[in-house]
Amino acid sequence: MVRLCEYHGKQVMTRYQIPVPKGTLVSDVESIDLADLNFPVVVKAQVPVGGRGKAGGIKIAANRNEAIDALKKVIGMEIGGFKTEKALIEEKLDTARELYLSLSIDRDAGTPLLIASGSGGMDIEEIDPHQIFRRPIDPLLGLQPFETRNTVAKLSLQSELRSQAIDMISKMYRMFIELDAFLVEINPATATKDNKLVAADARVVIDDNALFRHEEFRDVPRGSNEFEQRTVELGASAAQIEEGIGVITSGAGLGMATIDTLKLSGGSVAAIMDLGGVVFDPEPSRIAKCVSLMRMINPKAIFINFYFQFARCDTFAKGIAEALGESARTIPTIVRLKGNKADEARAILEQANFTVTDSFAEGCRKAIGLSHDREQG
Amino acid sequence: MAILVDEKTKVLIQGITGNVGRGFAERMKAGGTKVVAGVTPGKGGQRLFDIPIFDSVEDALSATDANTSFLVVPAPFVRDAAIEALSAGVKKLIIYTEGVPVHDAIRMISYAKIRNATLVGPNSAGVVSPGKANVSDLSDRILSEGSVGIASKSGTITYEVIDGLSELRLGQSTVVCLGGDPVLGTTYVDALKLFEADQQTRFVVLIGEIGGMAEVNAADCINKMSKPVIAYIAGQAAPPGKRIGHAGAIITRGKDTAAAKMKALENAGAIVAKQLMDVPGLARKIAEGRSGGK
Repeated sequence: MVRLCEYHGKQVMTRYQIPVPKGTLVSDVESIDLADLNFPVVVKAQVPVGGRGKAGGIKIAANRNEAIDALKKVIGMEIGGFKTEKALIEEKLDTARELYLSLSIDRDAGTPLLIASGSGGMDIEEIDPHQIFRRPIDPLLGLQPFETRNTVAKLSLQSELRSQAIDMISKMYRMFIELDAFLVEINPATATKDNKLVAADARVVIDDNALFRHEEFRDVPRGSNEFEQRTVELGASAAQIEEGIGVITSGAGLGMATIDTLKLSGGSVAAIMDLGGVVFDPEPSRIAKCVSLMRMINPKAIFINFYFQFARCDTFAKGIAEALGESARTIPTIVRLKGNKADEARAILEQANFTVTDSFAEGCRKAIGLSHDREQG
Repeated sequence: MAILVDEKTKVLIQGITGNVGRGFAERMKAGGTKVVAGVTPGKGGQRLFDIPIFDSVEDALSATDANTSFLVVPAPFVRDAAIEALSAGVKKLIIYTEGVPVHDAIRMISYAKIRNATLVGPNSAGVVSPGKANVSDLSDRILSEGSVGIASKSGTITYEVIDGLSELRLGQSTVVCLGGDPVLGTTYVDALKLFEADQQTRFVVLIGEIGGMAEVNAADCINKMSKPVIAYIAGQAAPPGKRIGHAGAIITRGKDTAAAKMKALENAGAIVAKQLMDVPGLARKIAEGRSGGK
């Protein structure tokens, strides 16, 4: 999933003529220009995660000096695993009311879903369920005007705001469909004292499977750190967890089952890497790059677990040997492999002094043993 | 018996001339699955492993008696290919391709419902009824005919489970890989209902994962079933909010955690395996009539 930062989401919203507060994006405290803005302003950390307010990443400033102080605190701040590199400075809105508006995918119903509430400004989970109005949208018909109208009618807005809310939702829906979004959320949509409805925040998540038709989002970082990001770039996926064993598997399901088994058997897991699409295009050098990335986070041991029906185990074995054989093997590695050309693969790996097994259970046991040895040694 | 695919299955492969399609065509033919047609626009008139290739699904259907389409076209073309097949009247589609945009998936799945068709996937490892038809990437070497029905979101976990069952000589009626994507055409509930009605199936293994409510919905269905169900949920140790490979596998709110799903399944009378390796042992108990399950 491609999560856009607030400023990026707002840039896109502006293209769809959704009103956003007047503001400026800064990454360098020295060169800020606030000449165009009226105080007070809000200084907001730009990281692609929620909970910025609670983490201290959103600050109000009454004048230029306060704004600079706030910026100094916010830039560099770590929020949800992300380092803040940019901040958005916006004119503070004169709030009368806050709404919640979103379009998302209801995965279990298999439809787009419009959600609206008259009490926005907090997490959707915290809003009184009676104040949340959900409208599933037929994927083939699309959002119908009556659906928007009837949903907005439940928010008890006065007529001027009602028409702006209808307009905002229609634009959000267009954006949701045209950009292949998982989520377009405005929370809060702020009604100002002079009756203007403005997107005070913006959360936009784009489907990374649809990037082939949305070149503009291709460069948005997808991992929450360098390790995860570089894995994505190789066509695989990874999640860093804690200290312990680095797990590499030939599929996401097998990966989850592997870390479950390791944890239940007293092991701990540093990271999980699913080779995913790499399996369909098995170049030894590409596999070697994935395995080398796992070394980067310095796990206590590496457990490579793969079971192929048709892909060739020996191609993978070559990649593993290439990656871990080139320098001294400082990280103990165990390979569990099974399937097509397993004997050939085993020979390659044993020649390179790897511990090899064909048993899932034994692989897990040995990986835990190796990681504990290393902790003690 | 068996479900979804059987000896009457006649496969049409959409995307047959690509690398993946060729591999499937060759293996299916060698294994005895009836592949009667292939479709690749622009390559009509050619043959591959003696299978006739057509420019369109419509052409393939007028010249052959294909009744099941297996889609392996690249992700950007899946929506078009699926809707083409549905429009031409195909009633069973299995979508193997991974990486299909979710907006495409929800549209083709909605359209399949309107056309009263069964759509499995996307991102499904396929469907196989051993000894009858293999429309999947599971190797015939590890499969055997028997009475265990398997419904799973994960191909790679399914390989492990079948391996474990084979060691105990427990064969399968049908293995249905639902797919690893967030929105799927065929759900656990659909598969469980079919297994319940299938004479060959004695009990079912459900392989689920974190994310979404599909396993919780399955629990409601298991409550009403007469056949035992063993369930394993992957992702108990997965960090919340992080996606692990499968687009579907991300915990969001709390009802979709592994623990919550295991609890719901247990309450519904399923036999819940704490870890993957426990599944074969539990299956043996049921097969030998020693289990406390239904």
